[in-house]
Amino acid sequence: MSTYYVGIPLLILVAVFDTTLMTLLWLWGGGPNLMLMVIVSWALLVDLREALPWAILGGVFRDLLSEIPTGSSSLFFVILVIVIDLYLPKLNWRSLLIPILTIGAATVAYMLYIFAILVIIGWPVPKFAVLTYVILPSTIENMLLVLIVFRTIGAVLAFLRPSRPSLID
Amino acid sequence: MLTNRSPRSTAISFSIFISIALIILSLIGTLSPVENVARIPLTFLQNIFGEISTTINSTSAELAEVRSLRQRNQELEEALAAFQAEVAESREIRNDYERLAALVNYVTFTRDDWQFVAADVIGRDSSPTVRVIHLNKGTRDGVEIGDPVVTDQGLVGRVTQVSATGCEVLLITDQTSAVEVRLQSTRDLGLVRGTLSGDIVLSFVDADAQIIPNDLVLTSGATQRFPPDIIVGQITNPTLSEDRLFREAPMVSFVDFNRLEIVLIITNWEPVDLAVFDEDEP
Repeated sequence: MSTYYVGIPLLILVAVFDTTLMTLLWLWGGGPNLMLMVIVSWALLVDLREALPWAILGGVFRDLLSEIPTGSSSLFFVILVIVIDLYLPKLNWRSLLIPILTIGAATVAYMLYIFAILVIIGWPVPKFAVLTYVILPSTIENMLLVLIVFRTIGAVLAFLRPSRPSLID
Repeated sequence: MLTNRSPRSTAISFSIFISIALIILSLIGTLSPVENVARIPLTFLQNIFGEISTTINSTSAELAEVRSLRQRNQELEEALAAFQAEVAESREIRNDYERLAALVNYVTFTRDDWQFVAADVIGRDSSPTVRVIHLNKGTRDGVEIGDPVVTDQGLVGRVTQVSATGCEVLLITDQTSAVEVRLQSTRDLGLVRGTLSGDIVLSFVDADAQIIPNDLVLTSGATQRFPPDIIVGQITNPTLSEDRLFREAPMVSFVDFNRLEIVLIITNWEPVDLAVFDEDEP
């Protein structure tokens, strides 16, 4: 339950950061997606049932500050968390390679998903231009920044649960 | 094994159900009141961090621009000298126009009649291809959907969503944006559209029309979505469209959309209601 006290304000701040401070790091039409990095990091560190509420709430907060229908990001994050739980082991916060590769794949998938949603609700999306103009810079920036987020989330988790052996070593 | 799997499957099914239910409720509008209420604290926080973001952005931009500022200053001083003569001439023409307009009792909605609400830019849409900014003024300040948004450098966009304390503005640089315009020198009509890269392009100008590089482009007031005579930008290199039916030209806006901090919302723009003409005759 203690993760909710930290998690909800944290996710609200992350959603706000994505629309304010993170826009300073935009390159061409893409930029870092802090919410996606937080959800991926959380999913890599904790059990599925703990990660799912974060995925839903994170998606809702993100969509409230976006043009896409509320719940769209939640659905993606939920599926992402399930896939991570099925195919990847739970990690130590010192892990390097898996978070980077996971966020790379997740960013591409999330961007394609969001563009599909935008097309469905009537926003024009130039299909080939977004690959280089939006997806490429977003993926690179997320892969560069994910370790900072992953270790921060690991530290938050270690603070909340000092007894977890995988986080203390 | 079963006891472990069961809660997991329930959690997965429940999460997917909640997400899909949220999407459906949001699409049909049932969630709108809840979304509006939930956005209030988010808008409050956006206000705080938007200011921090703006400060960082403007400080770094100022530092980067110090070198070019001297040269730019010299160019502007030269331009100012040229424009001063033009302004004097324009004042004479305006005086003549006002005298003649008074003679024929011609009344129009002019810039002096506009009522502005100044608003801070507190955030941007998180979707990369959507060029929408969030402002900290809403219905409590008299803002309504459709209100034009400007700066002293020209047109910014139009209010598309509004809550009690904030609103969303679709920028003219967005791909879905279209502004009916008039070329200042030749008076030809056209349409300014946004692009994926955040630039604006003049298009649908008659193929026989003459487009003069560096000519100013102003809103025409056609279709009544924007008041007339707001500066939209300046033409660069005109070309014929691929199908050779229209002329088009890339444009430069005087507004720096990446560094917008404060904008003005025109709250008393009331378009002429033409909807009655669309109704079927009995």
